[in-house]
Amino acid sequence: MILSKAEPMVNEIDLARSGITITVGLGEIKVIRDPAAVLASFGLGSCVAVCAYDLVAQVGGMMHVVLPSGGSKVMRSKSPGKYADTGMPLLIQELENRGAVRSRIIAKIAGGARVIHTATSDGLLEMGQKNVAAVRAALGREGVPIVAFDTGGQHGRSVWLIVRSGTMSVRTAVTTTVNL
Amino acid sequence: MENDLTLNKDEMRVWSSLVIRGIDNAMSGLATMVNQQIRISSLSLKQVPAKDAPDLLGGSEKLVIGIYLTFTGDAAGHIMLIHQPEIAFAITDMLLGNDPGTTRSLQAMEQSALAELGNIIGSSFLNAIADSLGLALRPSPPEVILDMAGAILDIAFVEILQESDDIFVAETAFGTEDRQASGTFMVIPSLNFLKVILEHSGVRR
Repeated sequence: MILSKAEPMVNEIDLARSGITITVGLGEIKVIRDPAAVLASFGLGSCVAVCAYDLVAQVGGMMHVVLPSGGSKVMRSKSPGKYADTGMPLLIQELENRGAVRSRIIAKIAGGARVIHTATSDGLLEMGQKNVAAVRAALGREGVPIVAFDTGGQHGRSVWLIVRSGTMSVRTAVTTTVNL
Repeated sequence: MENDLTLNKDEMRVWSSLVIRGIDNAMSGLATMVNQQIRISSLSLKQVPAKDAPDLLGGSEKLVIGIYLTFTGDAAGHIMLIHQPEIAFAITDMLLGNDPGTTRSLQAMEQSALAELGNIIGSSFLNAIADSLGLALRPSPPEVILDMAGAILDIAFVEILQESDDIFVAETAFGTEDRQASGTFMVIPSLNFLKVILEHSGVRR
């Protein structure tokens, strides 16, 4: 935990040049058909960013998952991407609505860190891990392959999806940026 | 919202006066600890949609030091004290009696000093609320975390988001006269905590 190791928390990688950056907040799903667009989620702890895209159609989407599953309460939620299990079909549906072809959709995921170490409840402590497992299972049910991931660990992340190239860029609080 | 809890004016007043009492107590605890006058510069009680919540600390990617604890007992919730790293280091110097500028990283000693600060502030806050309402509230040991603001807030939000699409936050900015110890004190109650305090104060049955 040495501060000097951390990079400045500004997005200095060459993403802004690509055009519009659209922020995807907690529990949100955003899908766009625009090669110039960049989707981004900032400061993910136990949350997971699911990036799914069809390169041919130039359609990309991001979902900011907070929890694995909502059980029966889900239908009333105004945050469609909050739960991995119920959000995933909506994400894929939105991609298809904008011209993506299901057989071409692939996914990259990042997040699910364990930022705390001594939580009073185990449920909270393992939330990142549970989110990652739920996201993997939900993508499996949709038949969408995961081609890259950066999950787990002990630090927060920011995640960008460049729709043009399908590149997922991940910055961790204490390391450098990796492109997946 | 899945589990609708929107506070009406009277309920907001009760929640607000409790928080103020708690924060006053917490800040006098802090003042004693750093041996300086602490001034509360702002206090706000908010109900924010989940998607906007990480912006509360001025950007979810910002690197901060969070002192985090939970409380349980008759009601549950999360307490966080968030500082810019440089400020947390300055506070650490005050706490450890170092010359200003000595602390430059978070080692075991620095973490434990900040955790102690969390203990004092957390328990003073909870004591004030528990005493007012005759509740038993127990704080957890604090954890000191250096990470992105959003990642730290995720921890506290996960629980309430299982029940609600909104997050209730009490946010205070405070500082010493020379602003050296400025920071943000956040209380993120569970829905159950809000219900319990409203019932105990007699504004809701």
